[in-house]
Amino acid sequence: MNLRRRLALRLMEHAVSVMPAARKAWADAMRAEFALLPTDREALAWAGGCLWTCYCERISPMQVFLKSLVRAAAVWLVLVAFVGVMILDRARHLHDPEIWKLVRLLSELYGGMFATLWVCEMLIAWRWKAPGKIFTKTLLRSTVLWLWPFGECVYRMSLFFTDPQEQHRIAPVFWEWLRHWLWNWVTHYPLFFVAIFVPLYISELLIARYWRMRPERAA
Amino acid sequence: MAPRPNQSQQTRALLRTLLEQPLAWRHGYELSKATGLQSGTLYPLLIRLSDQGFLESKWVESEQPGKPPRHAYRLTASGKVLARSFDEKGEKKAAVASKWAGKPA
Repeated sequence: MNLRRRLALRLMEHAVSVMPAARKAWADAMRAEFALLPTDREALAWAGGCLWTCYCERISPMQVFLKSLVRAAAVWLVLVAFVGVMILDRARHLHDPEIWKLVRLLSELYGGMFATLWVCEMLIAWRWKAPGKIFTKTLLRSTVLWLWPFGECVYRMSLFFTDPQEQHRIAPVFWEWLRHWLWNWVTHYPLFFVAIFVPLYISELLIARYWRMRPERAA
Repeated sequence: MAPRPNQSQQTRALLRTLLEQPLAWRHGYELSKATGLQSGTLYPLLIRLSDQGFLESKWVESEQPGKPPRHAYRLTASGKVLARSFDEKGEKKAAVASKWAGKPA
């Protein structure tokens, strides 16, 4: 075995070791073809290409992580701007204590929105490989954001059921709150869904038009 | 404008090659030779097309004794539809180009 073939073999072995476990079959496929290459020159070129492919696969999860962060940030900015515009007129009439209360509420809202969007983006990037389907994906994101109040509801219910001492005190308050919440859910919450869906859909269309999020690797 | 997925020349070349013998199982090296793509371009395309359900693969015994089994690929039904759609678009473009080329300046 000459130097070129030995170098190619080393590169190929390194490529196989670099490949993530989930893609091991592909690394084995590359190595099987490598074993059949007639010339040393071809073997070296083949091994170099396989090494590139394996490293690309290796860093792919990190790209998903970072890209979903950037994407969530972009979509979040559009949503924040939309919410800001919606409350601007009402906030003009507020005085100092109310303004601080509003600021605190908004910071909680925006923080939760960002975290939720990022989780959504990561799940979509990891699990939803099929290209396109902007409308369906936006529907999913909007629904997750819209369903937030359920989280609060579950939290209050857990307080209620896990602490029997508190039940006497909490029960009337809780049921009153639940009644209000359900009424709001039926009457106002469909509007909230539209208010979330519209900016998300606009930002998704813009991203699909101008932003290359899933590049064709090495193509 | 962001390019649409599976629209690159390399992807088209690969799909076209696979469509030439839609029932045959083709190996990586054979595809590399037929398309002129290096392994660093070919395998990412194969992996992506397989992930998207356009390609199916299986392991076959090597014809040469003592060599490991080889991975073979062919288009799925949806892969054939995709490849044919590119072929039709390519033919239309070629027809338009030849029409313009044939016109006197």
